[in-house]
Amino acid sequence: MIKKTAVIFESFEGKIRPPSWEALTCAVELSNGDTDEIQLILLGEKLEALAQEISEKGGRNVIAIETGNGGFYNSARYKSILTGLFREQGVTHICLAGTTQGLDYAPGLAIRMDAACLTGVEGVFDAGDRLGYVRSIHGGKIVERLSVAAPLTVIVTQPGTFKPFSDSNSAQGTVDLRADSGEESTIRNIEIKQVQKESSALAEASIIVSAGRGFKEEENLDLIRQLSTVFTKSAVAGSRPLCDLGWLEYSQQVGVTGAMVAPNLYLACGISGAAQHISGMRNAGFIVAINIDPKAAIFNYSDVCIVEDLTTFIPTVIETFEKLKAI
Amino acid sequence: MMKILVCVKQVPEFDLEAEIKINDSGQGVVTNHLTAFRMNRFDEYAVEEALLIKKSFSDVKIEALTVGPEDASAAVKRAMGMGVDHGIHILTREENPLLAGQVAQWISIVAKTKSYDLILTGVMSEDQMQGQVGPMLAEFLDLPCATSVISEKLAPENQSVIAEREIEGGYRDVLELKLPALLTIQSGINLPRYPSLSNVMRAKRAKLEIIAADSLSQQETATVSALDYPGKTRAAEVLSGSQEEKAQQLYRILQEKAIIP
Ligand SMILES: Cc1cc2nc3c(=O)[nH]c(=O)nc-3n(C[C@H](O)[C@H](O)[C@H](O)COP(=O)(O)OP(=O)(O)OC[C@H]3O[C@@H](n4cnc5c(N)ncnc54)[C@H](O)[C@@H]3O)c2cc1C
Ligand SMILES: Nc1ncnc2c1ncn2[C@@H]1O[C@H](COP(=O)(O)O)[C@@H](O)[C@H]1O
Repeated sequence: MIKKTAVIFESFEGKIRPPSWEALTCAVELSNGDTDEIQLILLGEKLEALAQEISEKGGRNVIAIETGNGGFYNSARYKSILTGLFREQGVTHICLAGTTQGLDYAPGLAIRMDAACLTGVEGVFDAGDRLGYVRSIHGGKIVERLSVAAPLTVIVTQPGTFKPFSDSNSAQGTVDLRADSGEESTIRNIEIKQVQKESSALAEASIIVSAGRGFKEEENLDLIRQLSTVFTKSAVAGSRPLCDLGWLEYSQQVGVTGAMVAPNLYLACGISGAAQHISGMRNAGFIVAINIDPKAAIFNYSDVCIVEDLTTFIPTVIETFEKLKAI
Repeated sequence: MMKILVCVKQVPEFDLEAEIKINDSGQGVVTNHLTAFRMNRFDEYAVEEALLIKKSFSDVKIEALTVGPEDASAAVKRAMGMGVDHGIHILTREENPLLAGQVAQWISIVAKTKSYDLILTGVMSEDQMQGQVGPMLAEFLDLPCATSVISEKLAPENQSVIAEREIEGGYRDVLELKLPALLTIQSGINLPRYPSLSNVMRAKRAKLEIIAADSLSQQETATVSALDYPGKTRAAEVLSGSQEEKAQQLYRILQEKAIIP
């Protein structure tokens, strides 16, 4: 079967969101070399330069649609513009990144187009007469391999799981710049507001010690702070639930909706390893995990696995390290 | 009167006591008497948000709905224990896989008969981890939808709701949606309460509205799935010995890797 895949790129503040390049890699992995066509799509405002950039780096034709509306993303309008476009283009697969924007409109778009929809896609494989998709379930303790028989499939990739696309040999594609003045929407954009500045503490740290819900009590967080002082150039981070509880600052959250970090050492304590957390730290130089559950998903992403109760093990580490340092 | 629907899901918790195992068919996981089931955590935030709305506006009725086999009703009962007024259970057969599109379609068929002003779901289920049922349900009902909502304010006088979606990098996307609308609720929006004793007693006595899924529409089976245990992406060297020995080994490894001096 000849496939025609559309990859929907996303931009924010005049820059392409990096996971969009990962979605293109997914599309390339799905395709059958030269016989399959990949069409790149970009929606937004003032797109000319961005469309040019995508056509160069992506080596494929771009359709860029100016959506007006002050450049705001609007799910109701995006769904109707994309449905019209894809009916015209006759695509079989649509790939996009599982950013908060992608996850906002993709499932609805799929329903509107009678398509199958897969989110959190981490890999693709050949399932005989169909394509297969790999995703994590049950907090990462199980992987699910799915194959879908549908004339159209919407594939939403998990950020950080596909390599960003790069191919220095690719020829530049064409740019087709369009405009869609759009219709009234039941959703009105008010503003994009920044509620939090990105903190430099995590970006600058060469060692990050990170706490998860395994800490159970706020008092236990003293342990992670003490552990941090054992190392130089270190910082304390954590998983989302601890920030939700107010035990840590949101600027300390690692993951898709927190900071993306890549320190020399990431020491994950009492963190289960859900895909949304993994996306934020999987590029660390060296990963050590401490978890009481030998089946914790975090161990699959770790260089060193330590099955222990953190409440007793962290004090042992602190003591042992201080002793050995003194020698 | 304003009517709010909250979708809640019962999920299994696999941990030390109840290890996760793939069943013989290879398509599901084994659950038994050791498996603890609980309400999907993200749905607790959705229930709490509905209860907060009810507190600030008079004349609000909240209904909680779940799709699943017999045992799934516990999630609805839990929601009622937190203070929800009425419970609905779309009953599926044990062997029915709960595919997002199918679940959303079932809920939409029931919701169409109830004219809700606002529908809340969690941002994601902890077992399936897809974040699809909410936005798909909105599409079936042709409602405006905002996902990952981290703050909301109803403006009944305008027949609208102002919602803040959490987006990357510390930003929020602020929207006004015409009611009726659907919001998927992200964790951190509130602090979910525990069920109160009096509500739990009331929930125990309450009769749920039970609707057979089969009576709504037929199950789709376009998807074939096979489960597997995850592979390792790194060395995953497991340390052994006493706690002190493990700490010493860790020290040596970090030194070898020149991570510590
Ligand atoms: C749209 C979206 C975005 C998200 N973004 C993020 C994000 O940016 N970052 C993020 O972290 N999450 C994010 N999440 C949440 C994510 O899905 C998980 O819910 C979260 O990462 C789980 O955090 P945890 O590992 O700390 O908790 P849990 O999953 O509850 O894990 C706790 C772990 O502690 C272990 N443990 C318990 N007791 C002990 C002990 N005594 N000693 C040692 N170990 C122990 C347990 O075995 C378990 O593995 C997001 C979710 C959604 C839907
Ligand atoms: N079986 C179900 N019954 C009721 N609500 C559900 C069900 N499955 C999913 N939901 C709702 O949809 C949200 C997202 O789930 P999911 O699409 O599975 O990640 C959940 O947080 C629930 O609010």
